Amino acid sequence: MIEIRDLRKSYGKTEALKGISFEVGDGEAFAFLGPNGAGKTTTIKIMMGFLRPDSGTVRMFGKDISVYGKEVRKKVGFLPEEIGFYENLSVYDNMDFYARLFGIPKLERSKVTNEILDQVGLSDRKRSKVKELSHGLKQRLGIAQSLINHPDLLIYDEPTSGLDPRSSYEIRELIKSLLKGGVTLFLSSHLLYEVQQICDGVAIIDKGRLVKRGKIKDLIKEIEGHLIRAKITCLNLDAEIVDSVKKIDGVKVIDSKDKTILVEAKDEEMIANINSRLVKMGGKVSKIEYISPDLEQVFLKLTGDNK
Amino acid sequence: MKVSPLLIWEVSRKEIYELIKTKRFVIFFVLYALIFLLCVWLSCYLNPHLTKEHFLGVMKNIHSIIYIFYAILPIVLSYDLITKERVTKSIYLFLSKPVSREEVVLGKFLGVIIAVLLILLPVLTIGLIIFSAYNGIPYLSDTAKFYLHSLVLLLVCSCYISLSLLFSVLVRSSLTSLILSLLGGWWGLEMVYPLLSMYSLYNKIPSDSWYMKVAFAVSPLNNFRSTLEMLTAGHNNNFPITMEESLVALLIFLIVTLILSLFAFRKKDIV
Repeated sequence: MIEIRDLRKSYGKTEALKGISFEVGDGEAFAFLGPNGAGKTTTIKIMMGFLRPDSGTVRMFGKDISVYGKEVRKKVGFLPEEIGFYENLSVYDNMDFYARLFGIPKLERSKVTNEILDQVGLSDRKRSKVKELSHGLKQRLGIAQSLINHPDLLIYDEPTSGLDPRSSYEIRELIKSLLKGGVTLFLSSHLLYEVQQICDGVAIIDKGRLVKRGKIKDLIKEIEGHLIRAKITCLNLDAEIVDSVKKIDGVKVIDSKDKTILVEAKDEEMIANINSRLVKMGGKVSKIEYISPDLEQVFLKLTGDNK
Repeated sequence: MKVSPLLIWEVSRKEIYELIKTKRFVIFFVLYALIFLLCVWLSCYLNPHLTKEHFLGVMKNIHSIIYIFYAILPIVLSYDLITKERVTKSIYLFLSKPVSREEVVLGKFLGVIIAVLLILLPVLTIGLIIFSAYNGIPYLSDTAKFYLHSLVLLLVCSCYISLSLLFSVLVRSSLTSLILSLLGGWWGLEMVYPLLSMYSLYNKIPSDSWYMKVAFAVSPLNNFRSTLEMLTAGHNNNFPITMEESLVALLIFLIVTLILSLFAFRKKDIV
């Protein structure tokens, strides 16, 4: 569905992309991760034809977007990170304009627009001017406009950015429901739990380079063998006890508050060592809970070294 | 460059729809209508000896008085055609649709031309009606000439629209685009000929030299004044170029600025 080959882009002397390559398969729910300034939005802007790469190619549906951009965009639904509409026009008029650009005939245009507005829960606001909508409703309209052409590929850049928890949840559920229709998703997000809930494939970029590409579950398995996280509950935890744990070689204290201490260690034996040390210090250990690694740990491990 | 006329129309349709809802459109419509129609009424009211034979002469005089409008009006309606899309970020959704950048530029250009026409045509027609009410209906040939000259007027406005569109493509801020369009596009081009005329006085450069002609022809408003002779079929020796040369100059100005806009927007990175 998407093939990116050796993509490079510089802004003046700053190299935003240093030759990234990856592929996204048909029907895949793909996450594109990276810290701020890693090059995610630059990659997406090149994919959409807003920026021209210094070198490299982007192919979508088997076609080079620098030559067949207009043709390719007929099958793509796009939601940018910074979304802007024609604020003085109504919700319906904005949708109608985008539908016209896809050449959708008048009767069908009205039907499709109403259906999609209903799907995203905006049908009762269709006569409202866009400037009267809240951020959450604008984001829904953003998703609505991305569906107007019944796309085969959705490219979403931070779709829940700036939304309250309820709106974020609703948008995530909406995206999940869209995926059931077999559409391919290219999702750029910094919310790792969101990505873990929606996507199966992932590419992680950092400082303009691709760090990892694979299935989320495979990446988690990969680091599972390296590090173990455990949450230890100690009834009389104090600063002295925490300091003594910090001094154990190969142990990293991630967090400590109230009666719990979150640690990262190489293996279970190390966790047992921590337990012994705590008991020796007079600590009353009541519980040791192992935590499975998640995408956040994968992400931090892969991008942390370069900090 | 392969463009779809249908998509150009869809873009221009949206542009007109958006533009006619703006305050500046309403303000300039009312202002132009008031000034033009007041001039027509005053001409008729203050000159009881006017007859329908004087129709074109009266219209020529009014156009020569308010000619600055034909630069300011198109500039005010078009200085932010692209910059506004970039500032409000609506350009990302716009360009993510199957529309080429050429279609965007041409659609926006056409949209403002139609918006300008929506202002000019009713006002000029009401002016004709007011004149007819006082002095009788002008000859058909004069009326035809009047409307034919309105096409030249539209061509002049198109030149300024195209120039503002070019600045709007090149710069990031709407204010910069407005300043460049007004100062550079209108006032700057207007100043070339008088400055060179002053220079030629002291350096004994013949007034009919080719560069004096070019200095005059670079300003669409100069060409507009020159083409006003079309209305009375006279020849004004004050202008260094003929009416026909002015028409050619206007067309060249329009084509060059429009091609530059198309080329610049095509190459532009939308950051």
